[in-house]
Amino acid sequence: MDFSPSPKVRDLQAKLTAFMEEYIYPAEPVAEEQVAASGDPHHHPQIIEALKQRARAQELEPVFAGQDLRCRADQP
Amino acid sequence: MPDKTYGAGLTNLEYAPLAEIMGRSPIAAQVFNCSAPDTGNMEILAEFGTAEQKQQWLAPLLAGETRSCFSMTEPAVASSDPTNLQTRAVRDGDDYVITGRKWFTSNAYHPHCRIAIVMAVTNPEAPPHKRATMILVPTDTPGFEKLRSIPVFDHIGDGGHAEVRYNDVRVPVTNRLGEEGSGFAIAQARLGPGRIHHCMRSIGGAERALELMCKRAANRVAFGSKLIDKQTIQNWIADSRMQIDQARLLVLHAAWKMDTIGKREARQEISMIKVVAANCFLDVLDRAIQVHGAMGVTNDTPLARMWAHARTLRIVDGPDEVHKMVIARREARRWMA
Repeated sequence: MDFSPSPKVRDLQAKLTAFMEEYIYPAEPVAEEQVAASGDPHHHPQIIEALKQRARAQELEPVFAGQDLRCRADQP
Repeated sequence: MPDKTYGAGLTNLEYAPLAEIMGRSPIAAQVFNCSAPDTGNMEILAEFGTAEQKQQWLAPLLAGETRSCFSMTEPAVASSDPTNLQTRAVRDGDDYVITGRKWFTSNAYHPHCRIAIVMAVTNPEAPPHKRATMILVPTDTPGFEKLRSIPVFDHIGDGGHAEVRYNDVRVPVTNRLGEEGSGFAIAQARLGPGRIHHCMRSIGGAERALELMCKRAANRVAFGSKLIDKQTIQNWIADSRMQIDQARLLVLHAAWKMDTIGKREARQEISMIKVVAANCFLDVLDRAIQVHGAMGVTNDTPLARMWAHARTLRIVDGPDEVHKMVIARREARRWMA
């Protein structure tokens, strides 16, 4: 059993952590404010949509979208 | 399924630490398009969907253009035992007509939600695990009636948890997922490895809570000393660190076993992490809230929102007690004559 991350995983961890710090944590209160301002509790905050585009532009989002199902589909 | 068709080509053990990082924020899953119930729905569409179903429903989900919901739990019966389900789908020519009442059809109120995967009884005379079928129901189908968005711990938000009434909802037979009567088998396939990912997200959330707890304790002064210098607080921090590291190793072990030996052989470990990770998350959050005092129960930190979510994790995808029942049976079976 060796649980140490591969170089590929270490690279993704670094990119993902940087994205979380630069964009995700600061967006948490903004998303709440946008929902409150809309008057609709199910409002989809604009900042989430903008960050989706940004994650996709940085080729992070496609890394994770569908990863769950790929992991499962490849099971022996 | 070829590598990289749908994802980055990572094993469960490789993906686990990345899911942990995403679990640190309640908004990250949406940004990276790996929210529940979409990932589970994408998986069963990929595995059991026809070419047409994949093109129509899976492609826009993967592209992040639409969202989806999963309609299984019913208010009238104990849905932790899905052989109790009562919603009916009756064959009428080339259509199914669906009648019934569901709740916790989560995400149905999301403005981008377009499709529900509904579990309905197609043959009540069949053996219990062959009675139900999954059927794709576009959310704009006449008769798909959202009754209310159910408040959870007094909160309504995100895609909501919908109570839905199916009033003679008519869809073509081609909307069936897999064979008639395969609903339970598909539901089983829907759970498994996704557990690794959501357990790791719980561990990420617990890490965030521990970090906030430590920052608060290191800076707050009461009764002549910093909180961090008080033994009770030290005890909570130490317990949290030990619990998180134990839970993480258990999840990574389950991921490793699934990758190297197989999904079926890792069933016991997968049941165990479902219980351990949710309780670890909840315990750490409770201590973090206590260290923050009044602020801990407000929305000025993410802790309260995370707690409400973590508390539901002890019930969703099978309550703790159901998993423990299964764990105990498997353990005892080894010693039965």
